[in-house]
Amino acid sequence: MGLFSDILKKLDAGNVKRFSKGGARTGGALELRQTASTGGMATTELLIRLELIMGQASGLPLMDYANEMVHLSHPLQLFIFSETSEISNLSYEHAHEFLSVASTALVLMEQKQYERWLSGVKQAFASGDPESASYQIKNYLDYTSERDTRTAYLSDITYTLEKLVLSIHKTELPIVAAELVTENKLMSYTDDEALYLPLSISHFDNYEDNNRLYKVLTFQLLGQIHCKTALALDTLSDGIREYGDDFLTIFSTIETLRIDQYIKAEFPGLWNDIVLLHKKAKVVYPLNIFDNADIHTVETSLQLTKSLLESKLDLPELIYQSTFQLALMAHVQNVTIKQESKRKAPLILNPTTDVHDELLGTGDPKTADRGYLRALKDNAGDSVLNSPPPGWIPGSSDEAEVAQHITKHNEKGVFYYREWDTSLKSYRKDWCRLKETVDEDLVEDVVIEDPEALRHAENRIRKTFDQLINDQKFMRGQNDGDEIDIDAWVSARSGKSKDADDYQNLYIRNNTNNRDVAIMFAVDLSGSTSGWKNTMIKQSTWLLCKTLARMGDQYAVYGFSGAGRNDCRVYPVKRFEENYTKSVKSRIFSMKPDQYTRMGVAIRHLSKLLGKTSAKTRILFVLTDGRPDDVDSYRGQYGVEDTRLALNEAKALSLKPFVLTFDKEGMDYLPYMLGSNRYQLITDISQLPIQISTIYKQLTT
Amino acid sequence: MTTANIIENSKYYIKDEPYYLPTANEVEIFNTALEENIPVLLKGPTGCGKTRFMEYMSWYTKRPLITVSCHDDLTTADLVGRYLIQNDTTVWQDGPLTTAVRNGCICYLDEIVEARKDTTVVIHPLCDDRRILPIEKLGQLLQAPPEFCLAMSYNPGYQSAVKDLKPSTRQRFISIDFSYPAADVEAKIVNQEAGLDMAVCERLVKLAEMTRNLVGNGLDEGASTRLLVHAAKLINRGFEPKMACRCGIADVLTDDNETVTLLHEMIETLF
Repeated sequence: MGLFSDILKKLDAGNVKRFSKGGARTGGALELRQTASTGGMATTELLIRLELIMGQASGLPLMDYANEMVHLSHPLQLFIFSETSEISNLSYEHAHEFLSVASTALVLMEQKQYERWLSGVKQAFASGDPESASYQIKNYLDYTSERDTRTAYLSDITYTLEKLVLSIHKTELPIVAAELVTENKLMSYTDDEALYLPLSISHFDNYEDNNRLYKVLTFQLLGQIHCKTALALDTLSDGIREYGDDFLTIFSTIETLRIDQYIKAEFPGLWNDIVLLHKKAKVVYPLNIFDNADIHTVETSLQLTKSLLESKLDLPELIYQSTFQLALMAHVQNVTIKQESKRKAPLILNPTTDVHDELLGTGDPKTADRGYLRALKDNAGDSVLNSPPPGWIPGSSDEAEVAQHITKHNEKGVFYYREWDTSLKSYRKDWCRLKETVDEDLVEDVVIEDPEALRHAENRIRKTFDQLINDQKFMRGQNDGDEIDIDAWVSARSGKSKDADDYQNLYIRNNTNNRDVAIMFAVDLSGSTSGWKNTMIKQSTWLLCKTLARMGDQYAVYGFSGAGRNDCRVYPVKRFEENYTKSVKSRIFSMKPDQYTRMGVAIRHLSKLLGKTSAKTRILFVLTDGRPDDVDSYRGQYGVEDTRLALNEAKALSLKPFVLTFDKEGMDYLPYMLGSNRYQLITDISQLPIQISTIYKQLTT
Repeated sequence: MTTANIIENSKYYIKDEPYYLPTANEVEIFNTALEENIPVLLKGPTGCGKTRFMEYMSWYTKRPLITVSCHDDLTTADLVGRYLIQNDTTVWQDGPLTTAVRNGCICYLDEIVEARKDTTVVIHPLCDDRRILPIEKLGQLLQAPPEFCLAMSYNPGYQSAVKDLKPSTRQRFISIDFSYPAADVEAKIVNQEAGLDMAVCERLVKLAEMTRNLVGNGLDEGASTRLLVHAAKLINRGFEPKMACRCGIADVLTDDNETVTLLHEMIETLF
């Protein structure tokens, strides 16, 4: 508490930087010192909430943390709870360490610094290094120091680098923080699935060069993938066995030089950056080492490594040299082999590949239903119909079964839908039981986290939608309007029958909104959307609903999830007939991750609802984070095929389906499921609110 | 038909050969379509050479070309014709489609999906074996001569649910796909159009490919060949390549600051 009191004193004096959003930083320190009487939660409430996150018997000084937090404003208190909760999911010990410094750090840091700090902590967790996470939590002051101005941080440049890589590599390669810097060496490496870069770089005395170095490191790693460095694995292992670690050291430099040649040829601008960095680092670059050969392969590098080892020639160590690890190269080789075999036998698009055949006879209880159905088809239904599986309603004339069927269909809010079985090439009648579930667990008083960031997104969305609203149209031949319609007059005057009515409709009306659009948002609430994704989905849905209310378009929002064919659920968040109200907002913020993604049945149900609207343009907008997946073997080809059929059924109802996905593998199956231009992949989920409105505009204009 | 309705054909002929580098067998397909009286649909992203192809084919076949740029307020009267007032009386004025039919021209409806759907229906009887254009206000059925050809273009890259061709319209055409040309062909086109050094043209094409990989990730569409030609012309006139690419390509593609910064970074890696 002593430190915190000191800080508060400094705050009063106005000489401590505050955690706040950019422009709002000048407004005095009082906001942070709000107590329960001025908006923040009181100590008792804070304590209860802390106990909910950390557990009552945690033995931690929760009261102390509550006492420190009581000085913060309500949004800041919520911010700490949210972060603590996220860290506690990974480690209680770290959550405790975080709580012990969070309030102080929040006061001392700018928002950017705070974000970097938390990002560093989380990335350390992600790379499986809890010790580093702990170190970073405790040493939060490092993030406030002066070196900030010259240091380049990975979190600041990740977006640009990832997109840059995407523009060259065509598929996304995530950029992830590498292990921490050791002995002043920058660690950078790749496993062909991601690029690992240092958390920060302060090698040079100015930001621009450190930033430049990030770019060069990234292209070096990309170069390793494009130049197939991993092919050297076997020879490299032999070389290390024969010559020791020197072989790896020299190979690393030689291979870096080879990749430099690739960069020089393909990205001359970046090569200029490399030359500049050499100059600044005072490195004498061995320019002529690769000059004699026309095409350089990794074999060239290995041969050169051997000859240099024998000639004992010294090579300079390059600052952007990657860290070559045999284990990673072995991993890359395995991945490549898997990809090759996958490419040779595509699961989804090869009609002769029948997953069903593999599943039959495996004894897997999940496949029992399907085995039954195959038998049903093969045996014309005679013997097997005597023992139908649970839930299976064949076209039987048995009165009891029919009665049971009718009873089931009379359940309130329960619907039965067919499902396509790709192995049988036919529909399973009334196979899925879907229930519309209204979430009673409403959030009574919705508190928006990080309202400043959302305000920016909201402004962007408003701007996008304003363009739609202002998209004025002229309606000719009207009986009243803004201008005289000369064409209508000429037409009336030249008409053979001088009908008086022709002279009535002589005006042009400036119609401000002639849109006739209905859109159904189907939001995937499967378990995999938990955490940050769920927050973004809720915020995006809220912003969209709030701004769509101005447009006059008909819209509805439904969540969907479930567990098995008998427990499919849709959650009405906003129905077409409803207006946007506080209870809609509550339902949006009550959306939480549920279980699985049985997409077909949800699409069929929501298509039916959308089909009932009378709008000219009707769009079924599915927001999901992965491929169709459920417990009872609703996955792989089966799930994709059923979803494809459900989407085709929607198209047959004159609906326009569109899928927005976070699934990086979405391109493997979405073109097949939907056809072109009816899907989009979103790689940066933080951009969801803005992306969703942009897509909405594209779809409806 | 009166002589007043006969156009001065020389206005619509393409006299000089436009530069067009065929990428596949599109010229042969178009010629066959002309001979068989089948209308043609050109599909492809903006700036990939659809309009240039039409100009080339007009020159190649020595037929006049009438181009209509479609927009969302384009009415049937805009295409077929309307009465105008002259000296307190009304005079009929042919629209571009009627003019093309009367004179056996190639009528090219550019970006047809931009036009209202009810407008597009007027072309239906022209596009099947009837080949007639009903002019309701004149009470005429105009029979198209064998020389008449209807071609239209659209960009299937738009994701709009409201901008799509009706199947009944779509299924009257043969389609020629105009995606971006292969890198070497595109570099040659830029080189020919702007007279710029081939090595720089290749780098421009690489930049375009990088932007095209970002479609759906901040960009609605990648850089077109037309944009590359613009940038190449700037470079040819002495502008520094980075500046030319910023003005000619990056800043044109988007207004979003983040994406513009990213595009500038791409330029930095290449020039």
